Amino acid sequence: MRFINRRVGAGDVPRTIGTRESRVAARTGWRGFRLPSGRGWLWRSASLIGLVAVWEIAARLAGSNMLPTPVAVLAAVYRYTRSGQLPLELGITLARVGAAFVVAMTVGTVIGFMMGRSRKLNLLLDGPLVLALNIPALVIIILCYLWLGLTDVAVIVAVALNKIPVVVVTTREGTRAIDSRLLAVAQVYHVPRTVTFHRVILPQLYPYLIASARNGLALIWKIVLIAELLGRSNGVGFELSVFFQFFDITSILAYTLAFAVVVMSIEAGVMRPLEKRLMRWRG
Amino acid sequence: MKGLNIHVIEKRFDGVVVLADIDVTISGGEFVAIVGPSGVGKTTLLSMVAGLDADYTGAIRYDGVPLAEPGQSPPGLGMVFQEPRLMPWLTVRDNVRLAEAERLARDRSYVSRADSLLDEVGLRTSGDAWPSHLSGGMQRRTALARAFVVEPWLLLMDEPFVSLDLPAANQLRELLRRLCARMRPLVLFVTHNLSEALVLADRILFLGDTPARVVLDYRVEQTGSRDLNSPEVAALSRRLLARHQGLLSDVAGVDVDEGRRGKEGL
Repeated sequence: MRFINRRVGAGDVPRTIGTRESRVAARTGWRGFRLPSGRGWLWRSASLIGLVAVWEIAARLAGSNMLPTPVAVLAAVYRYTRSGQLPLELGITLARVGAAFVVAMTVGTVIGFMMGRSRKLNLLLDGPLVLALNIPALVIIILCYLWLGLTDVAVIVAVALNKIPVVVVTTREGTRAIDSRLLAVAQVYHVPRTVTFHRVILPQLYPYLIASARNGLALIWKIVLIAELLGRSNGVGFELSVFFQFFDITSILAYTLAFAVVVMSIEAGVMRPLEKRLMRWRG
Repeated sequence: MKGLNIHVIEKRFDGVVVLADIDVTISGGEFVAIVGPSGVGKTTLLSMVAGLDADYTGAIRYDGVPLAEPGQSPPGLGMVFQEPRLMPWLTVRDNVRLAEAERLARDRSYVSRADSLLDEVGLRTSGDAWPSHLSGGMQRRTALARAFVVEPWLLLMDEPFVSLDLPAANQLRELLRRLCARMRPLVLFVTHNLSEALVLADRILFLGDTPARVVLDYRVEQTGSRDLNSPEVAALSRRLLARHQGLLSDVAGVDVDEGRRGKEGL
């Protein structure tokens, strides 16, 4: 309710009061976080509460060693946050995720675009692409550690290599779907190449780029944890491996929960508003 | 040779010759309609002039000089396609400005004329709208503004007013006439509607036969009427078809509806 009141008071709503848009605007709360709408909100809360309840019951049945209660896990999150350990390890892992994400998206988009535009290049790289799609993440990680040493560069390269083929495939599809009739318009009016790229080509690729960015985020953070577990001495993945050795399930769940919340916040706070902005012409 | 000379020796599609032995010369400022049954190659011919299709033998020149560099479109060209072909992610104004992008990049002192053109086509208040929020007629007005914002010396139009209702099409034809009167471009206007051609053009090239060639090069006498359904236009149309019956049989054949409407009008 607080969000709704603030929004209505902001002054941009009266124009559309009572319309569908105004209700959507009112629901679009603080900094683009979209508050669940109408009944959906009820269902989402119910599902969340249900999940916590099931967890609580299961925890009581299992005994606190095997499955700690939600409260115990939250307490652990609080403890690790206060000690500064959780924010630090989380930051290290996020930095690796960010670097691998940027590298994978950049390289994958460029290669995918070129493969979509050039038949020859596509024939040349399609075989290696299929191969790359089928190499297990673990193999790439191990090889990168062997070749590049147990370094952050190895982590970033390994994770990027895992993600690049997926980005390539998506971007290639998008590039092939580019409407040549709109390119003809650009040609007829001698639109400069850079303008053509930004105003005619790129907007057609946005849906594909957003899709691969979203999938990318979800995939990359999982792979980064594995890479950290295998060959780094810090980061969430490393911490998890330590807790694993000590059989500390509470801490494992605390770290997992904290990291999942951070990733979901990035999705809701960055990805979704970005998509909305890039796709606003569809409204 | 003075003017625009379109000389097509042969144009093939998948090995089949679709256009052959075309050699016409059009002087600057002339409004030429290209009429023919659908599938005869009208759009193909237009694409070749636009530099969008370079896969043919022959040459398209202006005053003896090739119209454009190979693989490029002629400079100073305006084009209106069968569909409006607006970028859905650009506002109406930015769609018009896209045609000016080259000029804006080249000439620092150039001031965009997009707004004045939008004003002229009656879209002054729609500059910030997304194309998807416009009616079909308004989208075509935008396409028209985009074509005229570059002050083209050569204007190519490919059945631009097809699939519009009659009042909207009439309005757009009137708009086109006004803009042409001001800027005097050389116009190649593809249509399968003989009445439309008679009303708009100074000269009509009838395409027919297989492979297609110019079967009749007709200079339009002033009809005095600018109304598509006026008795004068219908009479002229009938006279023309009667005189060249054999020659234009398949051209007339496409436009049965138009002919019938003409008869009812009398």
